[in-house]
Amino acid sequence: MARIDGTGSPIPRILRAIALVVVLVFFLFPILWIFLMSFQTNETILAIPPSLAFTPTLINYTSLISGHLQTAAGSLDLPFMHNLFNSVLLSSVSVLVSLVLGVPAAYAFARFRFRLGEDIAFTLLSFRFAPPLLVLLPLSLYFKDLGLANTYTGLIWVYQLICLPLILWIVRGYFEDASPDVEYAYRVDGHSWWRAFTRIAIPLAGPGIAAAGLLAFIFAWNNFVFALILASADKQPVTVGALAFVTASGIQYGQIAAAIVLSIMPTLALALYAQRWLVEGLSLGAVKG
Amino acid sequence: MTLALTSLSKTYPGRHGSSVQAVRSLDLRMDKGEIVALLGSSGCGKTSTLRMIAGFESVTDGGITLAGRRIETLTPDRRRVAMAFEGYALYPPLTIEENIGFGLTARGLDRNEAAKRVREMADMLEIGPILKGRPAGLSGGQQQRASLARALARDADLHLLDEPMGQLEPQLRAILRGRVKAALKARGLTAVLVTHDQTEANAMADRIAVMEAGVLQQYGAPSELRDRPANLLVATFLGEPPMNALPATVEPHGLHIDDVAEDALALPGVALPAVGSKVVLGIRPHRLHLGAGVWRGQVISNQWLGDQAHVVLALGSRIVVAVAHQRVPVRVGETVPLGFGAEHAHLFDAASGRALAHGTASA
Repeated sequence: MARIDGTGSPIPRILRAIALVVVLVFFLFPILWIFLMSFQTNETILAIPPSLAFTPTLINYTSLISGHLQTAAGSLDLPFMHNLFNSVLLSSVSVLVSLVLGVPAAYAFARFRFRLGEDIAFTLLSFRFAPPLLVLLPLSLYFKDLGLANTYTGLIWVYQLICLPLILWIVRGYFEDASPDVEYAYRVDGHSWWRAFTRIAIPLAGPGIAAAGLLAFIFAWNNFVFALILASADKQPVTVGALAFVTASGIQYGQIAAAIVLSIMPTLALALYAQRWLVEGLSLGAVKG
Repeated sequence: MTLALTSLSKTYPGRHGSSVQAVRSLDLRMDKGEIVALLGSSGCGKTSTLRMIAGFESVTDGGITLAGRRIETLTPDRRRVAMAFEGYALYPPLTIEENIGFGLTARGLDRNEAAKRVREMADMLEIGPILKGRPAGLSGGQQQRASLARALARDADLHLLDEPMGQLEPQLRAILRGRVKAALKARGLTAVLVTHDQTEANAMADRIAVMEAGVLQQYGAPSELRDRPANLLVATFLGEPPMNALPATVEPHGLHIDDVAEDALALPGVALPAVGSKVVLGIRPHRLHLGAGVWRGQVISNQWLGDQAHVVLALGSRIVVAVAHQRVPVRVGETVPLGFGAEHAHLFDAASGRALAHGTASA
């Protein structure tokens, strides 16, 4: 944009740059503040007036990684690293299961018209906008009967409510945008529909599948309420585990900040890594023909 | 006989329980080595028919026999057909060369043989310079020729060509029609060509099947369709500009054109139906002569198109078009005599459109 405006008056360009800075500060300042907080002790964080001048300390990170939280009331065991591991495990396995189930389903919804097809697709979508609390009570009762309460299997199953509709509906759009004729051409060249699906349809929808998978991963990572109700401490992800920082002797702001920094790292790394495919995925429709 | 369609029907389910009959009880036979064009306006059922033969659409009713095998329930990969797609359908990650050769090596043709075939096709369709390019960087016409090359490179029981030249420049189209037909004939291949372009159908096909509203209207050689159209629809669909159609009534002394205050026409050599019958008289524009004849027409327009003149005239309350191959010295508003030879007349039933009689020139 700056390149286009570069030939004209510099004033709109400067104004636009200022507006961009304002927006960026507005959105990124909390993250920056948390990043700074994670290198401070509770005393400097709570000092009035707050000061940007402080001696950085790694105490928050070391206590999180070693699993021992030092409070005024003494030492407290903190399974934060285990929570982080749970988050990675739950989110990635959930997304994998969703991809295995959702991509063929999306293909079926995009390519074939069948009885109740639209109704089934819409029902799956409705899982996204139904409030989780609505299903949690019956689910927790069923999970106790089925022996799924406080298991990874049970949580991954419930996480399908988050991931599956997302992947199904996004990937379906990509399959619908791609002409089925390319698959047909492959079929008349003598290949089964399964090979046409795996060799032609999936690669053509690849960027869309990557984008949907990444979004589903972020949504699964951020989930709080399913894991809070359906799992106990040793199976809980970081979102729930962070509650442990509210202790009897006060709130450990420094450790919370360090925990937040650690827990946004995996999704941030994944988003940066997948950025290339995301852009390609979002612009796929524009370069057709 | 290579391909036989027997009572082939296709019904698409519509919304609210309604349904659309795209193809109605189609019977068509073609011999080995024959080129048949399915010709019709869009939505006439020609593409649905092609996709049923290829196996992309299920058959609602009827059967398809190809080279002695019933194929209507087989999957596309087992039907031994090759197809050129209207929308090209090239594999995006492969080069044009790989696209054309893909089906050959997949079918077990050895590498040198396949490369030779690709080169032949590229030379014929003039895509040699773009063989190393990928589909995304090419124009519609180039992609279309690549898609056609991919289909023609294959050895198949039947080649299906869906509007294979729609995106090409007129000049190139005229050249390639002849080349593609010659190549099909030289290899003894059987092909079904779907097109809405009657010039293409006339130039390439041994026989043409004219379809409208899912129904086969007439199936025959191009000359047969032109000289002895089976009904008014075929008569007015083929030919540019279309045949003049004048509603008329049979009288004791000949044919009276409705709404035209002239004496009844005697049509020697044309068997007229019973007196009082309502018919439609059909005359092709280039058979209508200006300057002499029983009718008086008022000139509405006179256009010289470079190689022919189109003169539009009002005949009573009817409009007719005459075509001449030299300039016609008549002015707009002028009243001129016009007529035609009875041997070029076509008579159709007014209610059903069915052909009743043709002039002796069509015999």
